Amino acid sequence: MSPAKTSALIETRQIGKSFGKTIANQNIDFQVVPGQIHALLGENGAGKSTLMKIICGLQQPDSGTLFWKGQAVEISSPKLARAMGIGMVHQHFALFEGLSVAENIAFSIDGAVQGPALEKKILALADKFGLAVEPHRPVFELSAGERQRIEILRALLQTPELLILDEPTSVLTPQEADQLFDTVRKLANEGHGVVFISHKLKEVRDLCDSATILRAGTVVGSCDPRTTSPEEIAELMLGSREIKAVSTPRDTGGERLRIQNLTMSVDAQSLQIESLSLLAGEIFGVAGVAGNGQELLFAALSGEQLCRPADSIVINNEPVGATGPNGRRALQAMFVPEERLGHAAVPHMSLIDNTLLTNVTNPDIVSRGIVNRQRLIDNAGQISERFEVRHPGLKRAAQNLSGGNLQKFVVGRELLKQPALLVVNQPTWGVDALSAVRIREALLSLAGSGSAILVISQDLDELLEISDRLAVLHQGVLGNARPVHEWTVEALGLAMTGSEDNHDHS
Amino acid sequence: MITLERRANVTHWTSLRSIGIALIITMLVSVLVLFIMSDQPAQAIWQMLTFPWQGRRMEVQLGLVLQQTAYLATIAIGLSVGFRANVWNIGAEGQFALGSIGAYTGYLLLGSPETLWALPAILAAGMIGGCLWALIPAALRVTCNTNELLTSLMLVYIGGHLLTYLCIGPWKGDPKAGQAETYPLPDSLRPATLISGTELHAGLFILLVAFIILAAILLFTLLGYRLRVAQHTPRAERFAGFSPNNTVWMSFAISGAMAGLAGAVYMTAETGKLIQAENYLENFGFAAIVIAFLGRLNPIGILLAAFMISYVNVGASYIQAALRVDDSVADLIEVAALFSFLGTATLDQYQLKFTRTLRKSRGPEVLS
Amino acid sequence: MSVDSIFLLKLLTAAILLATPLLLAALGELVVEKSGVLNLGVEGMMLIGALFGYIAAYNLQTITCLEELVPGFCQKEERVFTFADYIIALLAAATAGALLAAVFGFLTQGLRANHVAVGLGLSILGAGLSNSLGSNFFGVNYTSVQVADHPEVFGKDALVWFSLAAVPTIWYVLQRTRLGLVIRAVGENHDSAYALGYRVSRIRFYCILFGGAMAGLAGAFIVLVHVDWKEGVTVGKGWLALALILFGTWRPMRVLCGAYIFGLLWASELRLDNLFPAWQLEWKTLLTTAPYLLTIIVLVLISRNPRMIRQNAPASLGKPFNPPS
Repeated sequence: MSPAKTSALIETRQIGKSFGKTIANQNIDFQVVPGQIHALLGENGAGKSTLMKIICGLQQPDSGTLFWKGQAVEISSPKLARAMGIGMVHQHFALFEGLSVAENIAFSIDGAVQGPALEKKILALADKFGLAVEPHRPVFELSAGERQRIEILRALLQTPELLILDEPTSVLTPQEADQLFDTVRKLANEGHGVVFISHKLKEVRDLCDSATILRAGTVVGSCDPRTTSPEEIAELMLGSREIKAVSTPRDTGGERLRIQNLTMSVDAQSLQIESLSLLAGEIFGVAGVAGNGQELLFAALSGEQLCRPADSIVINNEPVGATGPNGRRALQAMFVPEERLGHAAVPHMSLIDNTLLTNVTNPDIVSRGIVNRQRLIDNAGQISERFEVRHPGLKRAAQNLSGGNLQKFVVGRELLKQPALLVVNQPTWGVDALSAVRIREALLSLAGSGSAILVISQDLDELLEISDRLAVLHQGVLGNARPVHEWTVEALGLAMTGSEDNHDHS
Repeated sequence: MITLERRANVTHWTSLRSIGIALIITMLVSVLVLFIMSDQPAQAIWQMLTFPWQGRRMEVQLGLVLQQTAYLATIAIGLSVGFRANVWNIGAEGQFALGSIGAYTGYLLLGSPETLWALPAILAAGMIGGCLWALIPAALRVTCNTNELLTSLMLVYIGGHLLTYLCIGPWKGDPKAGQAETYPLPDSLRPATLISGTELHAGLFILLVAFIILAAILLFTLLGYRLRVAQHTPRAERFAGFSPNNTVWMSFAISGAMAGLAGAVYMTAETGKLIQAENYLENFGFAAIVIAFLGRLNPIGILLAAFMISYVNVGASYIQAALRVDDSVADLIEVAALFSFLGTATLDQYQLKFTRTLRKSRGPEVLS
Repeated sequence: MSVDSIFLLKLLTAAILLATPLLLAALGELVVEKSGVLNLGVEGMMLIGALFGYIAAYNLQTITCLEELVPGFCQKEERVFTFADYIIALLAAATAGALLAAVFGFLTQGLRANHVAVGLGLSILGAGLSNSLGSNFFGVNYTSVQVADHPEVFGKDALVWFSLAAVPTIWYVLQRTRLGLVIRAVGENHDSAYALGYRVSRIRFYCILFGGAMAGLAGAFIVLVHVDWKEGVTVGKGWLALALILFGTWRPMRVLCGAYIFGLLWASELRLDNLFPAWQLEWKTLLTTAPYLLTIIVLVLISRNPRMIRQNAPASLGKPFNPPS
């Protein structure tokens, strides 16, 4: 199945890389030949970015060898990688908004070409690959698709033979994505090798002629995506997982949260939820790959982003679409955001002060604008005691805590209030295993006491473990919710990669 | 070269230590300045430190210090409200002027009363004057997204010229006076002197009360809390349900009102009339910015800083008279203090690392 | 020549004298702001430049005694100040300004202290330092010291021409060269520039030095060409220069226009008695606010136009830069 060694553009043999105890890459064999559009597939954290960083010279492998056109090489820096002919288009564009397209390109390439000569070159390349750009326009006026074209042109100007595209379609409209695919095909026809990193199976099947699938840092398979069924690929990506036989019997009560015909769009993110109803005593999981609208969903629920009409979100039978966070907290709805430092907690403030952050309208602690310091301290003490937060002192700044302890603190801060509804985004992200277990237990016991919980997470195992019902968020659209035991790994994989139309609309 | 490395653990001890270092640097620089500036440096340093016990009566000298402290601390604590929340009102000098103008307007509107009972209304008018003047940059920032730092600064000059205009034009007083000024307020309206022979008067007491009230608000109420949250983490600010625009409005309203009150007290107690800007304004508004930062935006720190700077200022004018040392030494010491406090504040968060590597290549090429 | 045109000529000369220091200081600060730094210490750097330019000139002038009736007591002396002396004095002023700017640079770039606070402190420092050094140098109770005759016409004009030449030069460097691109990119998005391997703090430090040197020249112009040294001789021109940059939306050509508009306003205000003898003093006072009012109005107008702001204003202006360590 593998072509002759000399024909491979890049080849990795037995690449290994670990960060502390985490193994990011293990014995990875991977190769791309000229003219090939090669997909790299895998869940978040499967090791795709690490592998690409190694190829781009951003990171050095612990073991294994890289071959460039059959020669063993050591790619010590991105500069070297570029000089060799490896170009990368990043997912997040580091562009300078106030500068023009041409200036942005001039600034970030190593070449000596400047001014009109550079412009000519840009236009020639743009023309060749169908990338419409206007060199003089300032970047802040451009759409995401146009910005990406700058990134691609920037990479192409250095005449790469291998081009790596890191989730290139995540910020594009479908039309823009189609244009991109045309460009990529042209590149392949010209003899460039292309690595295409994506979560979207449909795109991969349309575009790529070979695929390598990673899971937990190892290669679990490679295939021709055009001939392999999506089910097979999805199963490779997710592996075998246990799905709870029957959901834990729990008394469910009245409706705590109802979302109906919610559509909103802020900056590049959009959100569309036809209907969702969450009952007391229920844990509802929202699965999905990062960047599919999770942030906006959380902001819409917490009231940091308001929406219209007001009754598109109903908490405890009150329409709250136009109500801010504290109005919602007054209805016994509490929220735990994903970002611990800077969102859920103020880094340089003490734990005591951070306790106040979500208690500013709590009448036990603040009355008539005056903070009852003693009650606040008591409250902070209770949180750390009940949720086993290990800290160097309540008066010490939040940034001094470890990730796991701070997470226990910010989750505990909301749990202590016995919320009727809890919305939590990534409850155990970046948290040590023990703390994660402790947080999940706490969530389960909260649901047991009759609260409704909505968990947004990218950790599928976690969702399968704790949720009663599960739905998948893909490109801002929340799919059908089903009890966990009705899901199969295959169906989940298909929904998360957008291969299966699991929405009852569209 | 020197690099900064973020401290893993930030404790009270680290900040106490950096304050100590800053004080030592300030003192060393002050001594150095006096050595250069004076023919009798030892004498100058001694008198600078002990001037209240030299020459005139102690309470007179200390009175002068406390008088300045009151104005500076009042304006500075008002400014600290905005600085905490990254709202840059650097136009306190103008708000001070408008406070004085507001107070005089109040006096005229009340029909030039003679009784002391009109004083609260006059002071309130001054507060409103300063507040309204401060709300101009706030409104421009909220509605048009205009940089408040620059507009508030421009308004200082406009405010100063407005003051001069009023003294030359519509409210022109005694034409025989050597300067443009309005007719004075009746003595009955002016805040009484608390200790005879000193500059300590009831107006300063009012400023002290205003200071304490605002300090209490900042330390113990939700308002103070929200400003601290707004300082570094706008995302947490919104999560806690606070509106950033309201923060701008409030910061400017409070700082303007405090500067306005200071201006009103100054007009009623110190001068008793409005005078053309260059003879009236004493740069309290700008010095207060320095003091707000010296006090690390903390009410108690501000009070201490205001006292320290006032002490240095009065001491400098004392040695200017006594030893003919130019009183600009006060400015130099003030800036030495500011810079060493600002410089060492970084050491709370970061550790200095001296590295010998002479890396010529560009910094890390990490794109994520 | 009619009286009117003589008057007009005088007005223009006065306008140029007032506009040139503004222009010099504003152009320097423009580069600083383009790199993302807000240095409010322009006034202080101008004062220091003025003092050192003046001291240098004072020492460089050659005094020859023409009449010595009583031995050791000169009745009539001739003071000669050559063009070379003038240049040296300017260099001294620029160096002094840059040195003061280096203090700002060290605190804001090296120790990451707050730009606003340090900038204000720098203004106070400049005023205090120039006053105290000035009084040390010229005595506490001096009124005014004469630097002989002001330099000859050519010398006088040199800095005016220099300031005018600096406008297209700075425009060209900022817009058309790699160096300018780097400066603008750093001011636009310091995190990205750092990630691409540029040393943000160092680049900014050099820009700050340049701004200080230009402010020093501006101060020197005031005392060498326009008036004699005295305490606070810059009378707030440094602050006006800051306003001027906004007025000109960070574009050198517009800053030039603004400087001359401000200069003309100022000059005509000084000559208002000739222009409108009937006008009262109080109206003139109000007219003095015109540059500030105009600046606010322009500021509001450009802020309402986000496109204008984003295209011209450095996006990182005054924001703290904390590189990942």
